[in-house]
Amino acid sequence: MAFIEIREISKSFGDLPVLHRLSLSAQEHEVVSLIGSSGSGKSTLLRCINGLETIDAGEIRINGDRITGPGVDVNALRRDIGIVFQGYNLFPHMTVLENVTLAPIQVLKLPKDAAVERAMALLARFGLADRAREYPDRMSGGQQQRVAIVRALAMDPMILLLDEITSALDPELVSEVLNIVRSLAKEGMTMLLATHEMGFAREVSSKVCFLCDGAIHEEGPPEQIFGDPARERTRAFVRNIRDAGRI
Amino acid sequence: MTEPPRRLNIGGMPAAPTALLLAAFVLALLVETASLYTLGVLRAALLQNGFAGWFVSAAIVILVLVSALIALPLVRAFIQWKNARRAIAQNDIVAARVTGSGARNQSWITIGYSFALFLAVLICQFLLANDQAVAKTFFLVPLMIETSPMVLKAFRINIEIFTVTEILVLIWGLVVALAMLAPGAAGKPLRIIAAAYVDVFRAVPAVLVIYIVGFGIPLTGVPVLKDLSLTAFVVAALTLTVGAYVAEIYRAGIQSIHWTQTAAARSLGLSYMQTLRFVIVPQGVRQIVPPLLNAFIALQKDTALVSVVGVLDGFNQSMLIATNHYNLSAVTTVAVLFIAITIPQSRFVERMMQRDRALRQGGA
Repeated sequence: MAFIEIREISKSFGDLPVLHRLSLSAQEHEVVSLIGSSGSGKSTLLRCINGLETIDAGEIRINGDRITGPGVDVNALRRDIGIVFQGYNLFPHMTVLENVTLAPIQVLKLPKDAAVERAMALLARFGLADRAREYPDRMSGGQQQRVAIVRALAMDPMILLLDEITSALDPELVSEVLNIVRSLAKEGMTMLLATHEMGFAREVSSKVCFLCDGAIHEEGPPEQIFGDPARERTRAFVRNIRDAGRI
Repeated sequence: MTEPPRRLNIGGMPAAPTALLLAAFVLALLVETASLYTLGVLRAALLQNGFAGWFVSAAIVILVLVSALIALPLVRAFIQWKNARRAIAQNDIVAARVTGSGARNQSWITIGYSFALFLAVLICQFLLANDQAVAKTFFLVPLMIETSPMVLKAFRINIEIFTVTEILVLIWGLVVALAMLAPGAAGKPLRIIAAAYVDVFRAVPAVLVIYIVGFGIPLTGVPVLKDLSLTAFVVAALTLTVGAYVAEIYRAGIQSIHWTQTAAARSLGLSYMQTLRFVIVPQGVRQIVPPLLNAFIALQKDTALVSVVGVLDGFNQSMLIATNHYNLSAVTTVAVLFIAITIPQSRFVERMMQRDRALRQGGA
């Protein structure tokens, strides 16, 4: 059985179906990219995996454990599955260091010294050590998003979900964020990323899934999806991206 | 055959604003005359009441000079008007526009300040009316000085009541707000109770609650409760009333925090309560400081209502003095005290919030 096993999940918001019998599996240390137009369900899928949304039908298993349905301790689940959002969602009333150490201290019950030490090591690794005492609103978008990634990594997650993390960034700030993802991929972090950065998806992922109407329309290795898609709608999507000069 | 180049059409030579200048001049002259007359009456009244000496003359001279300041924009308007006339005569359209607009501007400034001065004259005339009866009723300085120690001492009760109530309300309001936002099916009874409390206590006038609690609880003879002091009862009554408002303020503040903040906190494994405590409430509180200050100022003023159950606060004391002396000057003292405690609070909170914003966002 795969490390992440998503079986026929469905989710709708009121009358609006977002995911429809979607299935997907991913191995440990694999990087899976989710592509597709806005509203195709990429973000909702990621939010279901760490329990921010409940699903209406189907199930999700991680490492064999069922993580959907009643009785699941979502707080415990989220310790092991980190998510980074498009809008960073840093806590504006806390410094960078406080943002990063809040959950390790309050959730993992790490002693403050140990949490700070770990946070500083992570911040230093991603070139943010000198910003530790800064407030988020005084930093660039790229720096804020790097902090958000560090905040998720400080929980030492098994899986990292990245929800269009470069979509809100100025173009010249995208690479500093992608470099972090690149280095995490090299280390073998299991990641699912919803993205519009096709070139990047092609480079880092072992599998690309094209979402359409709340289900996976086509999946395969990046060369296949971007080079020779089998299905018509995938082909149209990739053609549009290429015409826009985004690959 | 070529057409002539198209010209911008923004009007021809402007006229000098003669009528406006004249109107400003006449108005300023009338108001200034009234003002000088009133100052004359004021001086006579002061002398008649035993205020004599160099300081009276000095004050009158200063007031005359201040009232004469409306001549300043009038003179400027006149100079600009003359310049405008000259520019029109020389056919200099740009200079005519500039000076004409300057003359209009200064004329309107004269008119504006004339109205303000007129209002001051009216108020002064009202105070001096009926042989200064108004001024003596509300501002009898010797009586104010004589009774101010008593009023000040009684006003301490107001300060005590609102200080204790504010601390209690801060806690109680948050408790009620969190109950109003209690999640899930299990939270529903809590939500209903909290909403009912807020509805009831926002509807009932504060003075009624003070009356009911202050007179009612001792009558019931319930052990422990009946032995509390009258001050404790009014503090409880005010906490119940103001707590309902403050709970609504808290709720608005908490709900104003974008849901993505909750999503971020929960995604890190923080529980519902941890999310409220570390992420939502600290940010919500920053949003609500101005309306909270409003509620507190209203509460501070409402402490004057405790006189209905016989607490000898500043207002009650001043009413006693007013009855004894047949004069309301002591009540004026209380009004001045309320003003004196309110204004510094507003300024303090404004500065505190500016500093907080500057810290987090880098702006000045």
